Amino acid sequence: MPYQQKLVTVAGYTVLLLTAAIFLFVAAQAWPFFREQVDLSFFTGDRWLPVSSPPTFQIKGFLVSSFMITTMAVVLGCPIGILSAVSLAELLPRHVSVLLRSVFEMTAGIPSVVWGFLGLTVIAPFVARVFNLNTGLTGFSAGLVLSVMVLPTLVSLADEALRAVPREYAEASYALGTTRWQTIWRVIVPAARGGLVAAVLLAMGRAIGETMTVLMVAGGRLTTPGSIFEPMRPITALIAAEVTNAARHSEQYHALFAAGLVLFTITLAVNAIAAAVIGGKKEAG
Amino acid sequence: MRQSYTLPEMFLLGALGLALLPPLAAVLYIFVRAAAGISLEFIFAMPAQRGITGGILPAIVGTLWLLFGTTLVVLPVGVGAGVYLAEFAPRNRFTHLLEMALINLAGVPSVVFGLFGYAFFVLTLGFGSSLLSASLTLAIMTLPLVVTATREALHGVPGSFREASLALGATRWQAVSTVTLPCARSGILTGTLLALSRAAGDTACILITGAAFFLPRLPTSFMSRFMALPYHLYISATQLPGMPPERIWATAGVLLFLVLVMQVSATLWRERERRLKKW
Amino acid sequence: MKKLLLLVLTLAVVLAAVGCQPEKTVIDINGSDTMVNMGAALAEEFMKTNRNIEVVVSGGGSGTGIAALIDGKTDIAQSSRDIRESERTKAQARGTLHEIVVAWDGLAIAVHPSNPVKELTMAELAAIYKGELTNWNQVGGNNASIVLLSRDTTSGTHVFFKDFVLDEAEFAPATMMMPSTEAIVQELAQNTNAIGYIGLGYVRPAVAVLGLKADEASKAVVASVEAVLNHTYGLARPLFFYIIGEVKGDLKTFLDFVVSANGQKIVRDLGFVPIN
Repeated sequence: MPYQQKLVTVAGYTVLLLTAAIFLFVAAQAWPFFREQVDLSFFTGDRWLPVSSPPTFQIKGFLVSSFMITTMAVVLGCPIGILSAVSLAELLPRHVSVLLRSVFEMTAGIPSVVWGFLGLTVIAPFVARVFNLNTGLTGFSAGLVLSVMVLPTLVSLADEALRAVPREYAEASYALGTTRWQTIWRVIVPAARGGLVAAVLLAMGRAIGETMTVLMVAGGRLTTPGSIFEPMRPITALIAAEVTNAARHSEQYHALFAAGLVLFTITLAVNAIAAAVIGGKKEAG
Repeated sequence: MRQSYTLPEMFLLGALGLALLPPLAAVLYIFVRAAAGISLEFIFAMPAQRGITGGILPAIVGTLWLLFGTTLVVLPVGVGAGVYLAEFAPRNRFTHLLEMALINLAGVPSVVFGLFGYAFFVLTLGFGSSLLSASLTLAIMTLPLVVTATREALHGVPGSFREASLALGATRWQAVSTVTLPCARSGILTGTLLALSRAAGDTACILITGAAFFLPRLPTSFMSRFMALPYHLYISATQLPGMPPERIWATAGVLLFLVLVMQVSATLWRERERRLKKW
Repeated sequence: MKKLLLLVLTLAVVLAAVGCQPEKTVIDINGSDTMVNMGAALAEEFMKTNRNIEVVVSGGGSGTGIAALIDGKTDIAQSSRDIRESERTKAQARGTLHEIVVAWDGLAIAVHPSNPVKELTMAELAAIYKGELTNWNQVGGNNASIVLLSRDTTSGTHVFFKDFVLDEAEFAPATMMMPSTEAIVQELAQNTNAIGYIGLGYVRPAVAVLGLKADEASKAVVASVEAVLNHTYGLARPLFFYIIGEVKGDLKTFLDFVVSANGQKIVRDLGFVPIN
């Protein structure tokens, strides 16, 4: 084996090692916290009081906030995203679709801090006015901005799933005298179902992990919000806001890594489910 | 052939319009608002009065350094791993595991990479808040994108090319290095450029691994502290009292411009190469 | 591939050329967001006359600065609160801990300018932030619920407020933790029902500052530099530099500048209260 081939092999193994290393390292930093923690109050409790004595670290409020904002982003983004993908894959002339795909790809690159800035200056005041709220810095504003941010992921993956449906399906359907509308909804979309579900799941993963936008727009209430129209703080924002504040190996430091581990595990689970959906479909086909 | 659409189909196209409108409007709005604050001085001068006057040169240069450092690490490792996966990896459980790791790494939120980078590079390895720590963290974040782009680009090269070269007596490595890899070049570069545009805009990672609030000097080495565009935008928008709004918009505009230039050139390059390719 | 290599090399050469400057000593300042602007202004002025010394300022909060000091990641921790006993122990394990008061700050209680409430007693203020008073009409204002704005838990101002005003009780669960004082000011400027606490340096016409009374009988005092200087304003606190180890060389040059007349003029210009 030439040495170059050995080098690329090492590079390949690096990816695996790195993923394992990141997980294990974060877990190792979180371990001292879980060792002290005898019950489930970390997950079920509502108090995050890092500067009180003694401090309390409970993350239910952050988990609920992440869940609310993600759900809103996906529920708003999904119909629009999937319908857009259908338009791209089935309705528009090829050269138009190619151009629009590039446009979506580009919008995916708009940095989240830029979205956060727009959310802060434009969306939040607008939301406060329209819904007559006490403050516009709420989960709703963050969810609204996030629903736009997940669209590129959603559209490109859904578009890919739709285009992966063999052309013969559509042709067979047309041969039976169906309209394009019927073919799309009765043949192509059902055939692409697995890929579409995976697209939604991956968009969800993206929304859960989004940090800057929610840090700037969601409002930063540290306890469980009663509704989406209240200020809240998702788990990503908690980590970004506090991690550099905690002295290394302090209780807060370990608690934040515990929160990071929870976030990591959630995104891994979402990814694994998406992969299983795609993989299961492949085996069935 | 002229396309004609039924009413329900128009509804689908309407959804597409609705999906495209907000980001395009956002880009346009930012550039319009930014225009008032952009000047040569703004881009090429050092900041003064904590950033309220003067320019944002250190933030721009800091971001370029970050991109450079990220490229130095992610390009060899990412392309290497992509080549391994596409050309040499045996079809076994281990490779399957590797593929799974790749998918999962791609799904990890950037704040988790930041957390890891902070604990590992900044604290454990003692690199401190430096360009080095931030570049390495960003390199890990962009790694899955580069690996995937490389693998897909190599998969896009027809198998017959490889076979022809092997038939001529080339070794597997020679076939890869002289035939398939050059053919996949544009795909790899496009993917890398797109990945780097992510790195250019990422804030969570550098917020945690330590961009400076104010430093009116340019970095001199990878151990330097630095300012960076996305972090500068974040603090201008939320922390600096008396920051004129047009300067914040201008910072957003410069960041967005940098990212979009990378994205557009990547896309154009790919389209050009696609047209040139005969297979 | 060659083109890319060329590009990377060119960039390397450009950056290396930029990098060919004489070695500089670096002084790292990290910590309080209240003080980050002051620190940056002092650094900027100092670097004009000391071109071979680089003063890097970053924020994040007093806790951030002290954590960085303990971890050996910064030379000076800016803090808007006392170092805590647990932190002091950890810091002293690394060397002698120096505490230097570089300025004073009054903590102004601010609301939207349209808010009819003009003054509060300390007890009312505490009750509001503990969540015991939730409507402005309970303190003589409109019938509207009070939106509580606070700094993040990373902030020394948060800790000072919690210790000093709330007497170590907890903030009401509905309190919004804002990432910076400027974010509080921005929200106050557009939210008619919000209340927030901000350093004097952040006060501007977009917000109205409330008068504070020790109790019902006493006279209300509005936060100002003068009121802090003549000790009539209750919510005042020292702002600290914390340093571990021997203070000498460039670090000493910088500290001398900070407490000098020139340095203290900058402190004053930024709305803080000079030490003498």
